[in-house]
Amino acid sequence: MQQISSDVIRGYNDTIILFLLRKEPSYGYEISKNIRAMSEDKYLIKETTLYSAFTRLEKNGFIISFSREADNGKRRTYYQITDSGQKYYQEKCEEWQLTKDVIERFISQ
Amino acid sequence: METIRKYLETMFMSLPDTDAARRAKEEIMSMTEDKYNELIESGMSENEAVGKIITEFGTIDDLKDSLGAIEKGTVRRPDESFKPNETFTHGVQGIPNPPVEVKQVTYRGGKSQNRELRLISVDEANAFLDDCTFSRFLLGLGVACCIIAPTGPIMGSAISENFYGFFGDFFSALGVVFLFIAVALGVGLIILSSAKNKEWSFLRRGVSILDSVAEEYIRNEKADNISSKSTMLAMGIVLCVCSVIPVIFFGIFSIFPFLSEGVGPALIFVITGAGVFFIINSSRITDACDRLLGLNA
Repeated sequence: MQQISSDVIRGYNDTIILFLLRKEPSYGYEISKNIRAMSEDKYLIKETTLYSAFTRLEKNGFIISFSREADNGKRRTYYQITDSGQKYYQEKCEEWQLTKDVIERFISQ
Repeated sequence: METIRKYLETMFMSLPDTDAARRAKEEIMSMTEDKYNELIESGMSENEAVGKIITEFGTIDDLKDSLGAIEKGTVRRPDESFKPNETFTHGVQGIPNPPVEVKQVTYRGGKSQNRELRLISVDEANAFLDDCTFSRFLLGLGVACCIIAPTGPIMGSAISENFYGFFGDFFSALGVVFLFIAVALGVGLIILSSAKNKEWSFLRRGVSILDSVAEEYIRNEKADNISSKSTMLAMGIVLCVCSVIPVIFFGIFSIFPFLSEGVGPALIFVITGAGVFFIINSSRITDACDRLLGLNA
């Protein structure tokens, strides 16, 4: 089966994560599970990649993290999108539209 | 889960021991734990779950960039003016995370501080197992040879009883020659056996650990061999105990002096030799496994 190339998708991991955080704050495994579900098993994000993305996003002020106890008593780090994160997400969406528009001109079936 | 924990510990050893690295490890461990629990709940066996997690895991290089970036770059606090949504302020603690302190880089060497840690792969562990097994086999054979050696003179003198003159002396001498050859062979084998083990002496220096896949493999290998170990041990003990049966049997029903004075006593040594061989070899795989597993303890 054709696999998704991590080089290609790398630039959009941030977009994917921000999209999922727009609805509500979430934690690492839930995010990776949602990515998997929404991509219908076509994209499995690696734990290390996900964590790198979190630190990068947090460093840039697009998300913040806080610790919260889950129902089962386990303490987890939750991530929440910030206002500048929302703005960045919009920018990335526009960027993608442009990218898609350009690349598609060079794709022939 | 313990396997995964070890795997992560090993992976993070190559990173400098900073707060950032520690936080990364904790966070990734937490994600992995969630995943593991869910896989187990979905009915997957422990081994399958561990295998799946490890194959789907990224590389430490993915982290090096972002962790390195944190240490080098100036860490900016997330937007101070930002307030979390009302609904989520409940239970929120310590937001936002404080800037990461850059500490003096110290590499964790596990058991030894300055020497490089040596990671043992499945292939290496397997080679060690093979060598240990072979070395044990040689040791068993060597000891058995030494034990069997006295049968030479015993049989020699028993046979020589039936001859006179030259042939009598010839068989006696032959028995003694057998004794020396068997002892020489036995000692040779024992020395060879310990030489085979020397190649792995670096394991004793305590700077090696098994990688997690190898550890899992060795654990299974040990479990597989436990029953054959007890069988061989029991067989060896039974042989040692039974070694006196022929001599008693021939003593009671003394038909020929050749049997009661030659074959009977000689069989004590032969059967004991075989018994000792089995006893020595019974734990050849499990002992090697224990030594490897001991590295990670």
